[in-house]
Amino acid sequence: MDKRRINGPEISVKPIEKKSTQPKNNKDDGIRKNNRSVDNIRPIFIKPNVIKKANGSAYYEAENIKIICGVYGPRSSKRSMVSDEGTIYCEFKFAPFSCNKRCGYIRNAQEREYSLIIQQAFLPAIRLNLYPKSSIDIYVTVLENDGTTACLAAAITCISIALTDAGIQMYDLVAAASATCIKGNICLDPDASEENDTNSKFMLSYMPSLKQVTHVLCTGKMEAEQSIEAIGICIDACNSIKTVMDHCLINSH
Amino acid sequence: MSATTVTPGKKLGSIQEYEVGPGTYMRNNYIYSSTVGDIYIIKDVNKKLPCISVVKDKEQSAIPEVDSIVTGKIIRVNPKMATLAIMVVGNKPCKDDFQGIIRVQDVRSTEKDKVQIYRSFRPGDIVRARVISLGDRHSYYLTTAENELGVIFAQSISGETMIPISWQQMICPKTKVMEYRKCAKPN
Amino acid sequence: MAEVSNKDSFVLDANTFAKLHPKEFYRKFLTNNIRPDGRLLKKFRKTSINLNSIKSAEGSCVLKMGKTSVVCGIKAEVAEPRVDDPRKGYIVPNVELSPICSSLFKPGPPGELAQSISERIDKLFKQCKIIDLDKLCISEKNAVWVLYVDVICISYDGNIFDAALFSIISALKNLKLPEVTFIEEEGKVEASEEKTISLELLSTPLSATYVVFDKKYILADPNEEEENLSSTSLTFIYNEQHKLCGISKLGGIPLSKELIQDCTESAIERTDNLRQLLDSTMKNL
Repeated sequence: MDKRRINGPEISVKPIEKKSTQPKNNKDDGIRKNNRSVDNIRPIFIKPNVIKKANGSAYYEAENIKIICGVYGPRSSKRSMVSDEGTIYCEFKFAPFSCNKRCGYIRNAQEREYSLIIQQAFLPAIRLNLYPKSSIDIYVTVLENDGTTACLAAAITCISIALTDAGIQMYDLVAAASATCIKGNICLDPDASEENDTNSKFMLSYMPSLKQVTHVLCTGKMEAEQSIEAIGICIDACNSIKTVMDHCLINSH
Repeated sequence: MSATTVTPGKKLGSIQEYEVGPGTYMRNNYIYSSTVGDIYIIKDVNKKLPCISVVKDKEQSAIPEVDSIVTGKIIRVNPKMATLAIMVVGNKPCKDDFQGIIRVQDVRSTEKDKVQIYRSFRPGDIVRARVISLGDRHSYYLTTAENELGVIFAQSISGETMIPISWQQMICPKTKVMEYRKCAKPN
Repeated sequence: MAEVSNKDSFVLDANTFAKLHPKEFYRKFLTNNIRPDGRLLKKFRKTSINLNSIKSAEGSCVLKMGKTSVVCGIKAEVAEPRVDDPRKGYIVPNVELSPICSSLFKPGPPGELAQSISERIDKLFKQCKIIDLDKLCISEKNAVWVLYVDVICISYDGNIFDAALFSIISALKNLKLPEVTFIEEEGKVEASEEKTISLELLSTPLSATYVVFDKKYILADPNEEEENLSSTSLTFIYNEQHKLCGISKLGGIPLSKELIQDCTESAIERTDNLRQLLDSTMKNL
């Protein structure tokens, strides 16, 4: 019983989906559903400066993934330890209506883990020595979720745009790509149904101009050679995502 | 938007051609851009190489830097210091207030040991000060020990805006009561 | 840059003056019958809505009212009904004001503002018959629908109550539930894949908020600054038959009867405009 919110009944569940009696029109002769190729990334749309009250913000949309990010800072840090460098604080949250099953308001362990991952992904990229005693606060809300690893990668890309929109100096933009292993092939940008079918998740964030990887996340069953292959494939994907980011920033400048 | 708009991480040139300016950084003998914006190359007579910088249209939120002039409101006084909520840095308002303190030895430049904080500042006064250092955990350290620094706006006990009559005193125009403040010299 | 000087002959530029003496800054505009953002005193901000953009929710609405943006999403789940009311379903509204929308809000559990707005909307649903909760019944005594109505504020620039209420009504009007059957033996509810059933709203109450500045200026649809500087806030809730569903006067100074009656006509006009906007947006879907 959350005393600070309006509460519904103690237990509520999602109704079970009726197993459809007609066989689904199987257009999937390839490896992936919907005839997507192995290295297909869903088309990305990014728009900066959507939250007027924040220092910087960005909205990211790729088919059924919708993410909004707000950056506040540099501002005085409440958690300050005296430091010559600025600090990054990140909060990642799924909106209650974003996933198939409703998530609550309190951050669960996965959201906390993702917040830390994002912090690590950006530590090498932001010029923190220019912002002593200040904190850069990043808040990400996922409005519609279609693949949690893909959402995490999308969030990192979205945050890079928001940080640049806020005027925060960075060594380079950070692009991120996600992948999974389906029938022995590394497939980029998995959606929710593909993620449910496999049990391997791979996410990589990369600084394209400096050619440096800032964070790798690999969970589940994946052979060693496959993970090395996945790194190469994701780096290529990040380079193409970088062109989208550059295009978006230059057009809105 | 122009042909010279760049994004973070773009290689601009080598350190033999340019000097590093705001919005750029040096790595491995090359200069890269660190924000999105237009490239400006300024030739300075005093320096050997032209300075390259990348300037963004939308201004970043201002943060107080050492030696910058800040303006803010006094929120707390105690016998050792006055606490200021820094609202404006130079000419740029801050989105979120920072905190600064003016210690008793930094109020004025003469007779530092005879300073009484309550006769220099009161809560609610608008004060112009200079940043001495990044200070401690919570606050920047500020000083008003110059003629142009100090109280620029204060209200008397009766609620009227007071007029400065000397660097130490202000008078309420309605009730003609005199109150003590460390005033800034009007420009 | 325009310069303003105060009595002490310190010349400040307009942005600094607005930050250090906000009330004085507003007074200078209001004496000329205009507000700093260019609006007339009784003018509401431009409002736009976008329906059904979030496919994971059963109903959704993205609303922009000036710089205030909210996203409302409705998720439908199934639960056992209350023992004393075996046919009634549940509607659970919640408004979330998180740090993403403004630096005013700290991370953590909802603060006073969010709690009070959620509570006011919950009371409105309980007291005004907006939805017939019996229609949410799947199988009496066994299963009813629970509609979780969550409003996330993305950008906060004042007047969150109007924005939240309008987004909730818009999302409810566009709600699409699947067909369900209750399986007696297993005690479970089975749903079809397509979502086709919509919910009929018995009434559409919408609100208009005003604030009072300096005891004499009434400002409609306040932004964040105006909310902070004013002493009282006044909200009218009207339904489509121009019947008053609620008034709240929050805070501060006493108001005369004339001042309150002055706002009612403008409030009725505003709520009618919002209803027209909703109808025309639904037609264009």
